[in-house]
Amino acid sequence: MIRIEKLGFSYGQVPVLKNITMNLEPGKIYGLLGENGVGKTTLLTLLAGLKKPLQGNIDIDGSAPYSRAPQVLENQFYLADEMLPVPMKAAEYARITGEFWPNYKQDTFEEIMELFENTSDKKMSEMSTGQLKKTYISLALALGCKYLFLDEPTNGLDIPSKAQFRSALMKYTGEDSTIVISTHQVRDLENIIDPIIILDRQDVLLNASLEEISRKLYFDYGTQLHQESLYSEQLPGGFIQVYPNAEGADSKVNIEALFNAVHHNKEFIKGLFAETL
Amino acid sequence: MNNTFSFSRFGRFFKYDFKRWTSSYGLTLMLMSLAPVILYVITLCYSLIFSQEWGTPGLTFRVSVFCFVAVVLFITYPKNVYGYITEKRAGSMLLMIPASTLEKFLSMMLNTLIIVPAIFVGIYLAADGLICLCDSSCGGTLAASFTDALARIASFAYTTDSPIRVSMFSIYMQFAFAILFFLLGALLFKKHKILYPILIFIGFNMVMSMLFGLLFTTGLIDMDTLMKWSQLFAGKYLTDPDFISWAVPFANVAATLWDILVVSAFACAVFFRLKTIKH
Repeated sequence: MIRIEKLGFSYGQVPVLKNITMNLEPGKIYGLLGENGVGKTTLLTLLAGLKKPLQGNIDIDGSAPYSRAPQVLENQFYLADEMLPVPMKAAEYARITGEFWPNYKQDTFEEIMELFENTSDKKMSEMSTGQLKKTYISLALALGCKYLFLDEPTNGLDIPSKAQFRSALMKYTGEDSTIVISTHQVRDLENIIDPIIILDRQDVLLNASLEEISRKLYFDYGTQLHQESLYSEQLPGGFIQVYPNAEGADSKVNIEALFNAVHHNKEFIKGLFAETL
Repeated sequence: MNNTFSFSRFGRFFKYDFKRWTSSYGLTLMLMSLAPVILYVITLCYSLIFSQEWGTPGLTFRVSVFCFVAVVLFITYPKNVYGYITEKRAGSMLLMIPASTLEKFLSMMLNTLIIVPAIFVGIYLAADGLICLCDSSCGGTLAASFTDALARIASFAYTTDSPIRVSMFSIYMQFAFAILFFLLGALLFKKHKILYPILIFIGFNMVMSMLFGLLFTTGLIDMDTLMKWSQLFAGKYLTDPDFISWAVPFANVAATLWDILVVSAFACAVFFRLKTIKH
């Protein structure tokens, strides 16, 4: 369990995160959304212990990630948006790196590499951006970590690889794992991320499960515009509209529409989901 | 679980660190270590082409080249092997590896202060020795020349009665200080990891020179008095075997302790930089 309490962070005089409080529970794949510069990567690096919180604290199973104690590190992995190519064969690099994590399996790494149609006997420095990304994703999933923090994992992946990533993520992560994925490519991960966290400048606008979102908001894919809609967008053959679900009707959450609805109605949404936050 | 130090985890990390640096810097190290062969071939080719003679590099020239290559290696190695730690894309991986900061630090020290210099010196002297074995016109091996020089440095006659013994450990500490200085530079600066330490070194020397210059020009230290005192001291004590017999070993111990202190301070700085680095 990850507990974040009154977390604050700034770059010099520029505050990025302020008074962030939330819990990240086991067995869930959190989608961390937000505009550019709201602190998504900063939050992930704080969770991974690569930065030290300036205010508040982060508690991962009773330890602070910034302690970087081996006991903490062997349960987690942070996959950055960009990773450096290493002049080493992927399989060899994965083997010598992975052996630090107690649950790492070389076979799993090879399996995921195969799933991605990626060759593990190729030098990482000779790989394309997409191939390199897939190698690091394969490594991240093969580590068997309890906590996985992925920053824009689908950036640079081709269309088949995005589907392969989704199936690998579902197949190779433990049921009690906590996965936090920061992304702008919400459509790539629409069917796997739940709950959704929407960060705003120095604030958390939303932290709710899809079930709760669909209970409180209605996503209308009809052809008629509603006056009460919080957000509407014209699509070919109709509209996508988001409005409060007063009647308790079922609807499929559209994350992009949700994100825009939240951003256009920050206070209303915060009030609506206040109990969750 | 011991979060500070475990031998098995250290062993694993050292293996990881060794494989990583050999894959990125191994070839460069090998080329630098094989400089005698390159130098021999180039000199021989030039000599044969331009003078139609069997000319090989002389001992003095080879010693100079060795010193130059060694300085280049010890300046560039920390940047090339550990400079990546300050880079977000690559450095975060090292920080996330489940090994303690102490284990990472010790591996870094072992590679920087022992493994790399030993590989370089070992291969360099072996290559030079092989060349001399094949070509007797080389003028003597570097290894023999260095052994002789070290023996002379380690024990030389300050006065006829009292030879000074300089500890080999102290000589090694000087080298360790220099390489740690550049290692710290590689870990502290995000850019210009070689230039900035050099500029700091030059700047420090300039400040010290100015400080001493000021002490003399403002009259806080009188040059004449100082000279007289030095002459008096030299005349009275430095020719006295009894004084030399205890003062020189004492000065050696003090210098060695000072070297240990300075190297330890730099090693501590490297450790704390590694512990507190953020991405």
